[in-house]
Amino acid sequence: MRAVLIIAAKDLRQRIRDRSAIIMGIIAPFALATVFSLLLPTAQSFHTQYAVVDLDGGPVSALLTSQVLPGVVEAGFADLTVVDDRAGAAALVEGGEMGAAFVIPEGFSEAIMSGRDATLTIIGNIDAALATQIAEAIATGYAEEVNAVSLSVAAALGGFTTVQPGAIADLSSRAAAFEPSILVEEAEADSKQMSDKTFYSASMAIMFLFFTAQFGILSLLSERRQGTLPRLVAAPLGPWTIVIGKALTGFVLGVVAMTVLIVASTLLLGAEWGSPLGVGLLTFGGVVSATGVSAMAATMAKTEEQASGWNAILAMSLAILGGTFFSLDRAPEFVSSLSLITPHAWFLRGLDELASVSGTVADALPAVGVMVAIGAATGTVGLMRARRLVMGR
Amino acid sequence: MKAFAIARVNLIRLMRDRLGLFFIILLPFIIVLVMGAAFGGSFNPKLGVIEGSGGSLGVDLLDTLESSSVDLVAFADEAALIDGVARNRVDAGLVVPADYSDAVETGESVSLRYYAPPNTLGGTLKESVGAAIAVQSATVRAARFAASEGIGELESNLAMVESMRETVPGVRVETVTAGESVFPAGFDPIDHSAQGMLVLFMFLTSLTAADKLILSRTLGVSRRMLSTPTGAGTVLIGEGLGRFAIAFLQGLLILLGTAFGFNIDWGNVWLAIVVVTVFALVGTGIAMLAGSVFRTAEQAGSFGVLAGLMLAAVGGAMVPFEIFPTTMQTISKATPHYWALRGFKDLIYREGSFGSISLELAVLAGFAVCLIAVAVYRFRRILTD
Repeated sequence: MRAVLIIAAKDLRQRIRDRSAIIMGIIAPFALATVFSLLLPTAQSFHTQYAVVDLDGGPVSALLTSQVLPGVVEAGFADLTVVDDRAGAAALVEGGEMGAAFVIPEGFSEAIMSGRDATLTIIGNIDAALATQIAEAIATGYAEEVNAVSLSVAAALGGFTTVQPGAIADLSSRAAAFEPSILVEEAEADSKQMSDKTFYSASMAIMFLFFTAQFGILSLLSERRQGTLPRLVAAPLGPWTIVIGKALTGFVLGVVAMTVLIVASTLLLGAEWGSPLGVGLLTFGGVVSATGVSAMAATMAKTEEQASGWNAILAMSLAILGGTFFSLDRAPEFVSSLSLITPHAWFLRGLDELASVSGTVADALPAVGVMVAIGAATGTVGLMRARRLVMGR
Repeated sequence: MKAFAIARVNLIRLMRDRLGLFFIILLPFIIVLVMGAAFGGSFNPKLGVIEGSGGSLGVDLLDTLESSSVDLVAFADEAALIDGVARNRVDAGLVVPADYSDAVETGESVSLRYYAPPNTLGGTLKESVGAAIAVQSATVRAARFAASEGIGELESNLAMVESMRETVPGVRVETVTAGESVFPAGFDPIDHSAQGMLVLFMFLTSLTAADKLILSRTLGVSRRMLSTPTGAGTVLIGEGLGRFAIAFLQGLLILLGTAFGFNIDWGNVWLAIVVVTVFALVGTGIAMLAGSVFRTAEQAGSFGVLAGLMLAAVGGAMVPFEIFPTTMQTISKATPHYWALRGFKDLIYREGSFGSISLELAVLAGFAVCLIAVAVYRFRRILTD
C-alpha cells in the first residue's frame, strides 16, 4: 500500500512540475467556461428592442401602441422605442439596434373604421429572426382582435359587406358581446435544469476531466520509453502495485482538478452546482469513469503519442455525444438515448436532477451508479492490459 | 521550385499523422452531423402539446400554431409534458382541455394551461400561442354571431368564415426586411453549424499544426535547409505555402463535403471558396506566428486548442452571433471568424455577390497581411539567429 502511495506521489509531483496537467485539467476548462458564460446569455435572458412608428395616431392604432405593446414591455422581454418615421425605424433595424419595427401607416384607423383594408408593417432584421417572429405574433394577435368584429359583421351579412354604416355599427356592438373567453392560465413548471453558468462549468469540467485522468496510466508508457519501468518491476513490487499507483495518480488528479473547478466556478462565475454531497458523489462517479476509460484508451496504444491521440479522440467523441459542447435536450429521442452511453451525459443529468427544486441527492444516485459501472467495466479492461504492459508482455 | 518542395514535405508529414487526420477531417463532419441531429433542423421555439386533445378546435389551434413557425412536440399526457418542460426538451407546454371545442362553441369560458419554466424563452412563445388563439377566437366569434343572427349553423359558419378571411377588409400584417435582403424563410442551424465548424477547424488546425513548425525548428530541419543553397525567404515561403495548403485543403474539404454530402447550402460555392481562400491566408499567418512564438510543440498544442476554441466561440462559430450580449458582439468583430462567417451568411441568406462581400474579404485580407508580416519578421529572425 505504501508503495502505491509513493508511486502516485512521485507521479503527481511530476505532473504538477511540468504544468500540462494544470493547463489541461484546470486552466483550459475554466477559461472556456468563462468565455461561454460571458458569451451566451442563451434564451433565458432573451431580450430585444422594438421600434414603433405611429403615423396614424388614431383610435385603432392606439390599441396597439398604448395597450398591446406596453403589455409586451411588461412581460419583460422587449423594450419599446417610439420612432418618428419609417425610414428611421428601418435604419435602426438594419443597423441591428432594433430587433424589429412596427409601422402603422397614415390613415390606418380611418381605413379600418370605414371598412377598408389597412396594413400593419413589421420591419424585420435578417439577423434577428426570433425577434421578428415574435413581433409577427404580437401583430397577428392584435390584428385578429381588431378584425374579429368586422369578420363577425361580414359573417352575419353572409359575406355581403355593403350595407348602411348605421346597420354595421349596430351589428358591431352586438358582435362585440360574442367574444369567447379563452384564458391562458400560466402554470410554472419545475425546472430540472442547472443554470447556464453551471452547465458551461460542468460540461467543460467533465470534458477536460477525460484529458486529465489520462496522465495516470499514460505515464507507464513514458516510463517504458525512458527505461524506468523495468527498474520498477525489478523492485520488490507486485505488478498490481505499480498499476494501481499509476491509476491512483489519474484519479487524484481528476478529483483535484474537479474540486478546484467546482470551487472556482462557484466563487468566480456564479455557478450553482447543488448539494455538496450530491456533487461530491457525481464527481466521484465522473472521475472513476474517466480514469477507467482513459486507462483503456492508453493501454490500446504502443507509444505515448498514440495513446494520448486515442484518448483525445475518445474524449472528444464522448464529449460531443454526451452533450457537453451543446445541449442535447432538444435532440430527437434516439440521439438523447444514444448519449446515455457516455458518462458525460449522466454527469450532466445528475446535476440537472440536483438543480430541480424538489431534487434530492437520491435523484442523482442512478447517474452516479451508471458512471461507476462504466468506470469499473472499462477500468477492469484497462488495468488488466496495464498489468500485462508492466510485465512486459 | 524549392518552396513547393518544402510545402510538399509539410503536406506529406500531415498525411502520415493518422490521428491528426481524425481531428482535421473527421471531427468537423461528426460535429456538423451531431449538431444537425441535436437541433432537428430548426431553431424554432418548441411547444409541447398533448396530441388530439381538445376536440376539432383544439386540433385547429395546434395547426395554426404549427404554421406560425412554432415546432410542436407531442407528449402522451400532462405529466410527461410537465417533465418535458422541466427537462428543457421544449420551451413551454400547452394543455388544451378535453372540453375545449364544446366550451369555445358555446361561448363558455375555458382555460388552457400553459407551462413554462421560470425565466425562459417560454415567455416569448406565449405571444405565438396568444396569436393562434386570437385567430381562432375571431373565427369562432364570427361564426357564433352569424348563427345567432339567424345565418346558418355554427358548424357550416366556421367554414364560411374561414373562406371569408381573405376578402373581409381588416388589418393585414406584412413583414418586410430592412434593407434589400430577402428574409430567410428559416434559419437553418445545420447551415450555421457547417459554417461555424469550417472556420473553427481551419483556424484550430492552423494553430495546432504550428507544432510541426516548432518541431522542424527544434529538430534542426530548418537550419539544415538554410545550410543548403536556399535563402531564408524561400524557406519562409515554403513553410507558409505548406500552412496555406493545409488550411485551404481542410476548408475546401469541409465546404464541398458538407455541400454535396449533407446538402448544405453555401450560396454561391465559388465565392464561398474565395472566402475559404482568404481565411486560409489568415490561418497561414496565425500558424506561422504561433510557430515563431512558442518554444515547444506541447506549448503550441495545448495553447493552440485553447485559443482556437475561445476565438471561435467569441467569433460566433459555435452559437449564432445574434444571441450574444451587445458588448460581446463588439468584441466579436475583432476575430477573423466573425468576418468569415459574415461573408458566408451574406452569400447564403442574401445571395451575396463578390461586391457585397468585398468588405468582409478586405478585413480578412487585412488580418492575413498583418499576421503574415509579423510572423515573417519573427520567423526570419529565429531562423537566421
